[in-house]
Amino acid sequence: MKYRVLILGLLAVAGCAKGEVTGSESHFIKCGVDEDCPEGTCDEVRAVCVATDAGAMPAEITTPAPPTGPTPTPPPGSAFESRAAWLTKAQLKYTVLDVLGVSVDDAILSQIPYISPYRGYGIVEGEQALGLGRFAKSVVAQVDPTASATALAQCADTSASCATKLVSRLGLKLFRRPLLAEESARLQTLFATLTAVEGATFDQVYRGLLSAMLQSPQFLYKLEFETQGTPGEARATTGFELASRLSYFLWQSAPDDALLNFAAEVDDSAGKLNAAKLRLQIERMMSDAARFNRVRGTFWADYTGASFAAFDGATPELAAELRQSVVASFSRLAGEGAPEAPLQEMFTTTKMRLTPKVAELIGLPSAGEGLQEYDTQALPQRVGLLTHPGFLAAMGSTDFVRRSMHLSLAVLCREVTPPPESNVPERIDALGNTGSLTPKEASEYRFAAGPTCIVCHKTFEPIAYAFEQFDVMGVHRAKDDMAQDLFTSGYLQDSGGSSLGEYAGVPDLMNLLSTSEETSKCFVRRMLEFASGRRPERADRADRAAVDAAHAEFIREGGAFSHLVRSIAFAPTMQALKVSNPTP
Amino acid sequence: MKRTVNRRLFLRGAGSVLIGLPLLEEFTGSSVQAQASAVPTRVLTMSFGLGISTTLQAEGALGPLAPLLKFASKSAFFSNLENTSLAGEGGGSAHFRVGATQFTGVKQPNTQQAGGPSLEQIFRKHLHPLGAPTIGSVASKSAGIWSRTGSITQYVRHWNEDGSPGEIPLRRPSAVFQDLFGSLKPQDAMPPAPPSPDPNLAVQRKLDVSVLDSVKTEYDTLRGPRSFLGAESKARIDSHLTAIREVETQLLGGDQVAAMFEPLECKLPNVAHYPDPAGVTFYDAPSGSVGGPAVPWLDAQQAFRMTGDLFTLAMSCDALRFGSLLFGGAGEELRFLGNYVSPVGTRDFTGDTIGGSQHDHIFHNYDEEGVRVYQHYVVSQLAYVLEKMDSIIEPNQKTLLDNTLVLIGTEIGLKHEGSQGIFHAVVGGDGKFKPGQNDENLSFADVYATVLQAYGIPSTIQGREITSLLA
Repeated sequence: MKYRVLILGLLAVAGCAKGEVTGSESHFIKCGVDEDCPEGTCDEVRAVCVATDAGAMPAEITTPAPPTGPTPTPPPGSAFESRAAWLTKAQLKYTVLDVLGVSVDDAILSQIPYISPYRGYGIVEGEQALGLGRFAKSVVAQVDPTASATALAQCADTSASCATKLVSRLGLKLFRRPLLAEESARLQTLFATLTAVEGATFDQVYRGLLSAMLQSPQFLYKLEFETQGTPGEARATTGFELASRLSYFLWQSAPDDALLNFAAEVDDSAGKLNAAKLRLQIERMMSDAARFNRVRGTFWADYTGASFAAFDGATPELAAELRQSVVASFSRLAGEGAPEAPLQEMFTTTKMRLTPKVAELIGLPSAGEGLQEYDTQALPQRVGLLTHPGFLAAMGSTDFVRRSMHLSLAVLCREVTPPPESNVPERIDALGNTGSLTPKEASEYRFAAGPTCIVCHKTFEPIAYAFEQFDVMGVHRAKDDMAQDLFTSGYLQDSGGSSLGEYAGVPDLMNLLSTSEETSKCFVRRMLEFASGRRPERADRADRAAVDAAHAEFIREGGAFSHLVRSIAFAPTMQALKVSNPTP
Repeated sequence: MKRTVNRRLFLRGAGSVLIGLPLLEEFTGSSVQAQASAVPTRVLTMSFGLGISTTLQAEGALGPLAPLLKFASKSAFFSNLENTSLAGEGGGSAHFRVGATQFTGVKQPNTQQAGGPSLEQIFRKHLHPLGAPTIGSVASKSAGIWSRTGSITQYVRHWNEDGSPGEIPLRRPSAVFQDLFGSLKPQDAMPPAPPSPDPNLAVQRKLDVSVLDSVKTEYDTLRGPRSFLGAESKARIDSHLTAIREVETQLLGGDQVAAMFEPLECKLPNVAHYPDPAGVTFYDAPSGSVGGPAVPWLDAQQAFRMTGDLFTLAMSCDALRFGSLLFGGAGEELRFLGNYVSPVGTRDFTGDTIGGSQHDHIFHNYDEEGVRVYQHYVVSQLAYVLEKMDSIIEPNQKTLLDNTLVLIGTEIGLKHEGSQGIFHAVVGGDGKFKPGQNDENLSFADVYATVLQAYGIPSTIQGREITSLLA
């Protein structure tokens, strides 16, 4: 069976030739692997492979009890402490759409801050709390209370029995797990309090309950039972924790009934994970084209920076079209409306989806209204999706430092560390004297400024040289404003400063990137971050192992977007967490 | 002078249906114009000190100007203004010289004054030559958070017609309250037996209070000892709860739910909701030319936002049409304290105040990371006021922000010295200006002259009228 093959493959890639795999396809089994493992590669593969018969999905959802009892044994491997991660704008939007059937207006969504894995998860500030309040208000205003309550709980009145049902059902749907007893009690108390207000109708009471839940941290954050278990040790995720992780990864939304039932089954069986059923769930979710396409859109919007770019200099209309077309171009490669291709083709493809305005921007005649497919073969420097005007314009600058930092982080997953001292004389000198220079001259000035600057800048800046012929909006020009030739040659170094090759222009650089393991591993890092809300650390052994294992699987399966997603969805790290210390 | 209540004053605003009352109280030269447009012309200048380098300006959503980006569709941003020709007189540092030309666009004749009136005063004088625009309103108001008093041009942004200094910016929110609303009597402010526009409003308010209480309890429980969360997650939940409470105490002015669920209303606010934050210790203590008092950033924020709330309420209710807000003077020496966490970086400001101020440590040493976070904090305060203004729908179905000309400016640009690469923004402005980024090299005078041209107001500012900036 495919998943078993997958695990055997992982073991082989990890160099675990002596690992023993036992069991049959119809039982939960473990694989022991203890020898011949390169450092940091085996932890996450140890004893993961599971196989079992697939059972039918229960048609009716039942509300299980809150998680209690002994902590299930985790699948060994990478386990990380969980963090309260905020639902992103997209996740808020799709959750209320799927659970309540409500479409939230963009104007309301615009009041919610953009949260991206790219920058890590921030904290809520005053105005943002107000924005979230308005979001809840907008949602409840669109709900038909009687229809919604009846669909959920087969009742629509202010009786205590109906309150119990509504709290339980809404809790399961919106908090993505059965409510804890005290949570249930609080919400039922609220329902009773609202009912007791003289003149309050059922509609108002229901909207009040819904509003409270939509503003609750259990809804707005992806919360897990972080302190349940032995502090410092790994434990398996509960069924509902796993369901929520998968759902917010693969659908950008809350689990549906089938997934909640799967979660309940896992928890009812003391945490034993039926791998075949898990596989069925993942494949079911990925085969739901409408919802799975959300992953393409949101992932590539993050990857390219289009989701948060200001597109300075563009009209609002052009900015929207740049954003739309760059995401569509990457999504096309990822299989949206076209056969998916290996993602490394991102660096060499000449196929782009463009709107008429964006096509005109790069010198191509319009092929018709809306997004259309274009081939940029006639434009020799327009090779690969990094030369898509939307990608270039999202960087918001022609400055080599800014462009190279953007590319280093986005495409190579290299963190560029800030200068050790902010008041180093060379830095002050460079900042003060490069304002009127061309990007190339400024780069050369920094290299000559002294050892403090050159150590890092010489490593990361040259990747941006290839793009000097593209202005801030991604328009190609061969000469600068002073009619001087703009150069495109450079070289690529690894993060340690070793040469990865020289290039004479964009096509050369793209060839270097397309064959680079660093870029393909970066896909994995970005996807892992996208799925978990946590950036893998290069210095962390478990992180490296998780990335290496997923990367091996991603490459073996063919290197396409769906392979990338599966390599993360099935990864052990999705099924475990490290227990945090309780704090006062 | 005790002001009497303009009955219309507290009936209008926030889309009230009572705006059709006769405008008998209007007694100035602009009353005809005001009637025609249904909303009056209002001008608010907002300035902050120490500037933002062109590099940081270009960082967009990742930089200190990020809080302003949500208003990009109604803003013209200027990244490259220069003031070289105007700032050559007057002596002192660039902070002093350029500060004098900010919002005036005229060369400073000496260190004690500006070369001409500030922009909001040009508007006021032209539109309302007799003084206050309406009975019950004030002619103009200037307020903010600032400390350094080395030169008057550092902190005064209201300049009279002859360039002499106008109002010193008030620092106490309670003083702002007193000036804007203090002489109004509650019984005068409210119309007799005001009918509630929605019979369910009282019921809804009670429900909303219960909902918000329940939400806060959820947060409180999750950050408490019985929580199933670890320390870091608890801190995030705690931060969120703090934000909700901040919304309650500052945005809502003590009313636990109103602003969360309803637009701001023109009713007389309660002075008890605008206490002077105790952490601001320098209300009555100018700091002189060097050094500056320390203040927790949260307290400075609280004080400024209260003032912003009062300005917004007053403008919405037509108690104020011309104002200036200041968050940090030119060359400000305030020492902000505390750990500030933002999407563009985190900084323990306390560490930057040892043996000097952030001005010394961050700006003079040009610590770019520090500047980014510091100015993000500052710009967030201005953005708060814009956000508040943008939440109020006016009778013409546009927001208070749309209907108000807001000019944002600072005094320093390129490298924390000199008079080039200076940031400004024109926000709102009745849709008269093209939204977008303007990087061309213009002078302060060019921008101000163009603004006046857009409103058809004659001016003596020697600037070019840049028609390409106009919508």
